[in-house]
Amino acid sequence: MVDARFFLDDFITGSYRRLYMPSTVETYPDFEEQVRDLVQQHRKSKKQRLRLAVYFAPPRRGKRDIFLFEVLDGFGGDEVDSEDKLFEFGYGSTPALPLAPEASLRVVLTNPTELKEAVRHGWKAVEELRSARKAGRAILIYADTLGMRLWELVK
Amino acid sequence: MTLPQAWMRQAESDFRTGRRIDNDQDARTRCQAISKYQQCAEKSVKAVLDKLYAAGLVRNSSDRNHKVARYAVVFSRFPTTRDNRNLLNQLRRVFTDAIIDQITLLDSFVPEYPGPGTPAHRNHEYPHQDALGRWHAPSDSGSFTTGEMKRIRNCAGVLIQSLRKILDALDLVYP
Repeated sequence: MVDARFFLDDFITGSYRRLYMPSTVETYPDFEEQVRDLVQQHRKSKKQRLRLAVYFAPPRRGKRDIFLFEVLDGFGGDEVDSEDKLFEFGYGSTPALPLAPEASLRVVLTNPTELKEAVRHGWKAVEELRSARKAGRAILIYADTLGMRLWELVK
Repeated sequence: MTLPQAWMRQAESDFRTGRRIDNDQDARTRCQAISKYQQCAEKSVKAVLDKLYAAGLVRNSSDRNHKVARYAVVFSRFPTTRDNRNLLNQLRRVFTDAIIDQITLLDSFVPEYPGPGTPAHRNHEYPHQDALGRWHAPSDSGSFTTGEMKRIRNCAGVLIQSLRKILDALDLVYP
């Protein structure tokens, strides 16, 4: 069980190092190593098994943001979004992944079933990933056999 | 009171109510108890999410969707340090595979209107259909199993205890 008393010192003394950069500085692919570490952490989940992970830089999105696309078994109850949108979530700077002010780690999460539907119907998030791939701005970080097949769909 | 604290207070109230009406000897109470445990899970997760948002640690606040397993996965995927005492690591550890599974189960019982031509799925509120199309009330004694109730009770109990402390700790650091 967690105890609130133990949380405080780290947040007070723990450094939230920030990398100050001008707003126009592009970060891709500078964070590849950190993204690989993060994906390695995510692979530890046994039930929500990671199938595919891609570090990418979509066009017309924040140049300082880090984009990570992940496909995992069971995400969202294996359902397909009724509004044709893949779930995207932004993280701010944390001790484990310090970011420039206003920069975010943006993680796009889906399950294999939903991704196939998204590809079939050309959802916006898949088009962004596809554009990045075509422009040579996508790095395959991890894929198992199913993940490779899914990655081939995003061509 | 802040919005996250208001979410958490209501989650605690839902949990207490769930405990009161949860009678293991009477399976007809299960749907009512599940309803409260589901709301407890939803509100406690939204409380922490909205606090993290206010603190700038995440970029999304909660939305109107009652299903929160997505956010549980988000919490479980925070970049981690090696320090066990770090607050985000503590938060991450609450959301084990088992707890995410249990929240996903609770999500699946949130009532929704069925799409055209699709059967009404099992939920804690409205009549639902089985694979043969027969109708059942959520309060039927066979609607929810003993095993499901055990998992749901565990889920709500873990969330309300752990997330209350984490929210209080976040409030101290990010008043």
